[in-house]
Amino acid sequence: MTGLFPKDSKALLDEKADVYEEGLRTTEMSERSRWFTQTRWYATGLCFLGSLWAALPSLNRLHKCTIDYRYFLAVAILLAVSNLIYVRVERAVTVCQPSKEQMCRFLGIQMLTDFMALSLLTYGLGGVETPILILFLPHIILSALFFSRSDSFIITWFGIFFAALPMVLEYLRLVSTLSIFDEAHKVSVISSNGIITSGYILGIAAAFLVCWYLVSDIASVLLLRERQLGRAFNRLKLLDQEKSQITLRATHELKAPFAAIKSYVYTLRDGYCGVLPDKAQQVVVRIGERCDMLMEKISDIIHLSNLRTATQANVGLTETDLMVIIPKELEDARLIGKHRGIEVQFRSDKMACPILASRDHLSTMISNLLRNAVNYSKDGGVVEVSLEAAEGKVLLHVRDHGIGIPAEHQSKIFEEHFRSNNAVRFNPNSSGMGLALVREIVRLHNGDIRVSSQLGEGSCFTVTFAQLQ
Amino acid sequence: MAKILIIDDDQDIIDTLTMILENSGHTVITKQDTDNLLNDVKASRPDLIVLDIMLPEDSQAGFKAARALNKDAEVGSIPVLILSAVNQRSNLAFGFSESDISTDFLPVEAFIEKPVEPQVLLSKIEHLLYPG
Repeated sequence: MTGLFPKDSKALLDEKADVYEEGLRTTEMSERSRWFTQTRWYATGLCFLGSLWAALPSLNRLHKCTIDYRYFLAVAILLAVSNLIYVRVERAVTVCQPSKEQMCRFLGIQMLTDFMALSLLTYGLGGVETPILILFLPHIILSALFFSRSDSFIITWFGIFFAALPMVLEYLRLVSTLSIFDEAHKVSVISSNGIITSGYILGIAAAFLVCWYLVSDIASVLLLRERQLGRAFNRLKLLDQEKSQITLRATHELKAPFAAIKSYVYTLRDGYCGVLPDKAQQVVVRIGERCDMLMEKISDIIHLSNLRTATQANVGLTETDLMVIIPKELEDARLIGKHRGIEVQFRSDKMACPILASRDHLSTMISNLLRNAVNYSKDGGVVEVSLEAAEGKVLLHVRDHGIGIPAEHQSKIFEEHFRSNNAVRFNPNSSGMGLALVREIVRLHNGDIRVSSQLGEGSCFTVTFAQLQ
Repeated sequence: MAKILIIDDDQDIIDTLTMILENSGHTVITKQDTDNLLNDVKASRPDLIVLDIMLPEDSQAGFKAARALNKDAEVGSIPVLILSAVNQRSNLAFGFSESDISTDFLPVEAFIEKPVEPQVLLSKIEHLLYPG
């Protein structure tokens, strides 16, 4: 016995998979990488502008500070050269379709280069004297979003290392202490006090780590939700396929016996089992008619239940031209009305009228409306069908001059099995499902259906759809 | 008259079809599944195959059988008439028409929906056996 889901679908529903294992998909990583390299060009440009600004002595005097333009320039060159390499690598890896791990490493290397550039800039701009250290934070936030928690934790520690590096080197007197201010405004705590230096570095480390923790925690929750949504989506897809198969099987199981009975009826009727007496012939024809009615009713019930749970996504809406579908359905309606002398007219000034629709369902809807109009028309009557477009909408009118609908029943005619008394008297063989099917199909296409009717004078059904531009 | 192979799991359908076809002078052979179909067709060499789509082994067994027959060099030219009470065109659409017949989708020569009107069946078979 098979289970509810096919075997290969079990993997999709595996609840135990590590949420960090999957991470971002490779294509998303490639897009992130491109975004990184593009943003780095802006940063490079800003650094070049910074070096120009720093090179202007008048501006430096105005702000009572001296910025060595060479640091800005060095960082700009570092970013420009590294970015050129990354862009080339990016183009190469796009062709060979890298794995997720390779893309992670590539992004990690880019971040380390940025940290180095920031570290150099931090040193050149006097360390604690400027808020340049804040620029480490976006990288830490992005690493927490891009990478697994363990990888982003490592990246964060690299950030702390490169942020603290200028201060440590200055404290150890391995590099000279730079300041952008003159002696009167100089902040010189870093080079003179070990406790303050350590505290400063610990403060930076704590800020970076708190930032990493919060962002990676939120990112992991989001990733978990994304996976849960993905699983729910797969489950719904499988259930939809299952439902469709069950409906198909049920339709077959219900229709097949009637098909067999009807086939016997045909063989009896056409004399393949010998010539029947007139009375028996009449009975056989009646059996056949009742078979047809029951079979139609079963089909309508299954079709309706299927439509009720359908969504636009699983129906598959495509560009469908009403001017292609309507003529075919008109032909069928004319055939049905021919023996009662009913004329079916069509009027439209459109050559084409495309809407977003399911062709099969649209045919069913138009067919049901036309049959309905023909069935409730008086003998020798006229059914008028017209199609018009106005204000971005397509309006299909189906008007008959038949028995009409009592005012108190007009709100109920789209309910399944509902039939007004005059309709039952006029056409006792209808299943009472046709208009319910029409309403569900209209709903599925985000359309609208309205009816206006006068008892004894006829009815007009108007279906509205959005026009496809 | 022709030799016609009917493949359908419903014995009542087989019986009524047999009645109609034999009455018209055709020879009828029957099968209730598609097991070993290619070999059986090669052995019996029918002039025409009437094939149901939904068989107990698979809801698309008829489709698969039609495609297998179509691809076989030895029996690929035998005309196939598909016969079914209900078929699935998409997730929500049921029922074919002859406009669906194509080499990729429905590689058969004709399609009839059950129940079968004897005159319609005989006319289709006549057309398939003696085209033009």
